[in-house]
Amino acid sequence: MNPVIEYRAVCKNYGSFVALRDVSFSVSKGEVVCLIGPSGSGKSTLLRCTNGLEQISGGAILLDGAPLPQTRAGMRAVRQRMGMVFQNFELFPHRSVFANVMMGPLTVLRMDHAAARARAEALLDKVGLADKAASMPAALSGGQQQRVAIARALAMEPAVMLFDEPTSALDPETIGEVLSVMKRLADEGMTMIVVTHEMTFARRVADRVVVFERGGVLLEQGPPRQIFDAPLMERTRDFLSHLDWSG
Amino acid sequence: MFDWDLSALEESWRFLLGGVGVTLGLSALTVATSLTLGIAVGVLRCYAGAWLRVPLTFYVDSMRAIPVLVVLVWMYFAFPLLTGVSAGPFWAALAALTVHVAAYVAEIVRAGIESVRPGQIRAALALGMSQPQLVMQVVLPQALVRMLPAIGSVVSVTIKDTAIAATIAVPEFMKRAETVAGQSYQPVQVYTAALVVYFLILFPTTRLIDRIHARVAHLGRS
Ligand SMILES: Nc1ncnc2c1ncn2[C@@H]1O[C@H](COP(=O)(O)OP(=O)(O)OP(=O)(O)O)[C@@H](O)[C@H]1O
Ligand SMILES: [Mg+2]
Repeated sequence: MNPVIEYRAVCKNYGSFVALRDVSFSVSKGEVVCLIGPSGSGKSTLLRCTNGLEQISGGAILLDGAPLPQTRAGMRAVRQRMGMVFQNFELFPHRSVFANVMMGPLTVLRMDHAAARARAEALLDKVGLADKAASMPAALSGGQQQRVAIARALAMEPAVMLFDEPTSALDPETIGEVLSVMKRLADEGMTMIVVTHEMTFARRVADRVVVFERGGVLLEQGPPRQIFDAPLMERTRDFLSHLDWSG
Repeated sequence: MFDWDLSALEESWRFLLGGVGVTLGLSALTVATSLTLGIAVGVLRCYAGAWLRVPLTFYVDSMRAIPVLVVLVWMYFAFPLLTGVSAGPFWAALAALTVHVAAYVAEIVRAGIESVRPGQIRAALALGMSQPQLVMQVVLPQALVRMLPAIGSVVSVTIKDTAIAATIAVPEFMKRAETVAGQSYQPVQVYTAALVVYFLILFPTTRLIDRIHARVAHLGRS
């Protein structure tokens, strides 16, 4: 199957610092790819490059076979096709939950109000927060905020969802509700790239796991079974054992 | 024991009250124009190209270095001679106070904008928003909420500063108080009344702004 996203020898430098070094892999339609690796190994950087929040320094990122555009307008069009979910939710604090979810359709897609409303209602229902529509983000728990953030991203009807450690800032008791929303999304066939430290989630939901190591190098990739049970690389095993992960 | 003869105030209270009206009018207009100009300058200093940022920075820095009284006098006496445009003391005072106060507002706006977390901007960009959309919908609303206490002090300083318009004979409250005090030989009564009047205008104003901020502060927390 043709890949939706393809990374070809992607490099990213910040000055003389190398954040990504020759990263190549691809993501097919409907695939869930989990990115794991130690802190500072470039996982967030890769996601930000994917939707053009950062410019790559070398190589190419292809979306549906075409390199990411260089123009501002082109990049905006690409971002509309990719939803992004952040570690710190980044809901807009001055807008209600409902307005947060409608923000993309109203301002970016210039959808009419009734249609945006209907879409937001359906999505809040989907993430189980229909009753919180009128609340302000600050009144919600972390897990609820993150589910709103997922709904906000889905409101653009993206082709790909990018998750950057979506549960790292959550209390343990609310992690599950976010992961189960993500699991359902995966089951519905959404193409997803998920940076995560939740190895149980990666094992159960990912079609493929990509392991990064310090220096922004792709260490190895494969189905979860291979990565977790029989990693090819010694350093993958080291990383996993350091996670205090019991499997 | 001082003789609190209030005859001058009793005779001239209408005249003085008219001056309060001018003071309030000048204050309200100055606040409106300097907020508008200051927000525009602050936003442009953050987002415009260098060709605009450099002169705006120069404008803000020079306004902070020049006493407002000097700007006022220049605006009233020098500006008409240089340009041939003369609009009278009230408008000269409005213009002088505006260019002065707007520079302070611009600095506050810039600090407010810079205090918005980069993650908020990433979230807006990730939705596909354009730069103007993210400024208007995400950054400015949060920045304005956070700026409210600082804007509140600027508003009260502005109201106080309208009193210097007396020096170019704008018939505002302070000017009229001087006139009444001079003619009646009752400066103690008249100027004491002036203290009280300014307090009565400013105290509720600052309280109101604090109240509003307390109400909306959570909207700017991200
Ligand atoms: N804007 C920047 N300027 C300079 N260096 C940066 C910048 N952004 C990231 N880096 C550096 O690039 C490296 C990769 O960062 P990145 O955030 O992608 O790592 P990560 O794998 O997501 O780590 P974590 O698990 O901590 O989130 C880090 O060493 C970081 O310090
Ligand atoms: Mg990261």
